[in-house]
Amino acid sequence: MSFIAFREVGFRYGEREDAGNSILRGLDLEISRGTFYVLLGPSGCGKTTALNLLAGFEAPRSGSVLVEGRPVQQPGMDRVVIFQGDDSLYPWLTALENVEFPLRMMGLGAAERRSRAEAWLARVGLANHAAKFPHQLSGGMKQRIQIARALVCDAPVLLMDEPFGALDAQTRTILQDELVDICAGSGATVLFITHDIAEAIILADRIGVMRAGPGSALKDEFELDLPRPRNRGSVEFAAVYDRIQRVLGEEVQKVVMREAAA
Amino acid sequence: MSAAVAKLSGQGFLHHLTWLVLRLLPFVVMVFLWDFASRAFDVPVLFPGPLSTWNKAIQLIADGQLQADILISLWRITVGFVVGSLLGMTLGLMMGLSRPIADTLGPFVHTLRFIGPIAWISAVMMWFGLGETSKVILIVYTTTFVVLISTMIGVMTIHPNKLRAARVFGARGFRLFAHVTLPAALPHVLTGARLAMMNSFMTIIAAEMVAAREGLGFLIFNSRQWMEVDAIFVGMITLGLLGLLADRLMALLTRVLFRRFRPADA
Amino acid sequence: MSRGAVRGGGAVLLFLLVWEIAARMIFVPAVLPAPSAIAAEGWARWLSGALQWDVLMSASRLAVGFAAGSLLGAFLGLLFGAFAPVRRILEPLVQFLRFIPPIAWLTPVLIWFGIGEEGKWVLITYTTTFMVLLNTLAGFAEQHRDRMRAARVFGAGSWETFRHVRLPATVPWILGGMRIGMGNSFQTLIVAEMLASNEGLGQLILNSRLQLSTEGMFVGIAGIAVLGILADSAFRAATRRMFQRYRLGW
Repeated sequence: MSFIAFREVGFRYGEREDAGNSILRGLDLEISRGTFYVLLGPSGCGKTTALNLLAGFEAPRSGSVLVEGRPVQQPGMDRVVIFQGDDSLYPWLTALENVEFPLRMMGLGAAERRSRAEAWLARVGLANHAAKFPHQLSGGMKQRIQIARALVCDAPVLLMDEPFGALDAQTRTILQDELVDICAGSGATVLFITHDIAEAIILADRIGVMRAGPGSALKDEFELDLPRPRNRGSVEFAAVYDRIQRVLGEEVQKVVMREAAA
Repeated sequence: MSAAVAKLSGQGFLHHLTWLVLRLLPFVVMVFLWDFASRAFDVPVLFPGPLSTWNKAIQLIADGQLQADILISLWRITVGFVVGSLLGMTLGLMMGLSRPIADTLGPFVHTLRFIGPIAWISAVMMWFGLGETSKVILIVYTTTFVVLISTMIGVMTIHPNKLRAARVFGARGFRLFAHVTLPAALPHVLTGARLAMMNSFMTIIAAEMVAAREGLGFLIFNSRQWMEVDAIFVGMITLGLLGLLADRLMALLTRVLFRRFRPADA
Repeated sequence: MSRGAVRGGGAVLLFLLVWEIAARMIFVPAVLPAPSAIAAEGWARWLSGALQWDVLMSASRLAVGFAAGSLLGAFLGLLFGAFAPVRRILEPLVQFLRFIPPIAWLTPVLIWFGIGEEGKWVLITYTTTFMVLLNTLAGFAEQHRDRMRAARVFGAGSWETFRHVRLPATVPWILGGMRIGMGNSFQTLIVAEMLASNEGLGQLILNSRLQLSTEGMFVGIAGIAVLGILADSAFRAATRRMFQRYRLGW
């Protein structure tokens, strides 16, 4: 039995099924404990929907989403989410208070909250910005708050929905490397959504590529055994990139053709 | 270096002074136009100029009447504004959180929007008597809707990821409301309250048409009976200045007390 | 029919029913007349032709005041938006006048404009203007700098930039201000008709008080409400069509 499993998962918006509204159809996906799993796919293929189902924000129309054999019922502290963009941060709380938020919800005392949150803020390099509000920080720093806020929970599962999508290339590279370090020590199982192949290769133990929607499912999977730290300029990196690009490129092409026709 | 700074700040001072004068200019022009028009008017008693209005103000202050009027009106406005804001916030939160409540109350809110407080004067007098309650209720009436609509929009436009994140961290029910929904909607509540403050000031005259013996609204409306236009002008100008002052004070208080919530206009 | 409309309609019906029962069982008609009694009074006034006349007069005053206030508010808003110094100089005066309600102007308007229609138009114009003006200004605060820069890149001068970029971007804000301003003009109707008038829905409310006819008062209130809802619906429908590309959101 795998740790996380999507079995024959179908999802659509609206009551009746028609040509356009099916997002996922028959998605099968398994993630074993401790794996950093990256889900790649063309835009609109339902990657984020898959993550939302595992997070418990949406319920599948058919099939089931299981964690340790039990179906996901609702969001919970065992599956913490790092969202794309900064909308999930609370602008009326300081960086430190944002990181304290989950601990406050757990009902921890002020002293313990503070010391744990401060430790994680320091870990993501924001020790000197604890008293600042999100709007006073750059995009990269805001995503660091989100990373600290997620990891302070010690959750066994981390869900990341293109967390670096809105950042500039340099910042993204730095945060990718930091995330590798942080996750290596935590032993958490990660589901990471992206459409950036290089990002996937840097981070992943295993990569799943999804078909173009509607009614998407998994097309192919790649096991990555490149040694870490991975070098973006190496020949091996380029070889893997090329293999994945060929699979993903076909799907992106389909999307482009369909948009041009419509 | 320091000379350059001094020169710059000297220019800054002159610059500010110039703008201050320019911004006061419309008021000065208005006073002159007012004076000219009143002199040109064929019945001077019915259109007193700035000077006789000023004299009337001095007289009202010497009698102690203007101060008394200001105090009682400010008291009514404050009570009505606070009660109306709290009521509007509560209803707005309920309507923003629950679709059935929004659907149920929506038609009433939408209808009452067109009915001004003055239309309710006689009904309110019949139902609540001639005392302070009736006066305050009319101010509550105009305050509530503005805060209600603003709060409802505030709740409805909270980004879903704010709520999703909190649910991930185990917040449900009241804790979700207290830690996320309310603070996230607060900037809209404050914006609505500032607009509602203006409504409270505008409604004080209507409120004091209900059997009042003092107050700025009474001053304006009662002087109408006797065609004491100079007293009306004194009341109007006082009301305008007080309103402006209250608006600025509210903006300042919001900035200081709710700094971390940063409403869009404060 | 949508679920929301069913809920809203049901709530209104239930409210009227409770009102009817309460009025019949607890209150005397002078304090709270039953909806049926109000409807009967309205019907009687309709048959006598008095109600139509009231509606017609009020509607014409509202139409003139609302149209003039919208034009004036939009004009001033655009003027302030286009010339920042004008805005800086005149805004304190506008902010000051904003707190003086139309009812305070009743006597001055009576003296300056007399008891004819002009004074009533002036009062309704006055309240509408502020809402349209303030909303238009808020629209200018939202301007996207890059859109204006793009226009300048393509050779637009300051007039063309205003005409083709800033003005269109403000249109939804002007229309939004007009919708709010419409509520204000209806609220001010009764003030305007305190100005020596013999007909109109506002006057019906005021007169009924003197004659202790609570039914008549409620006919006036209901008349203004119905007229307001109709006017708002018509405004939404018309602007949605005329300004389709602005995606007004109503």
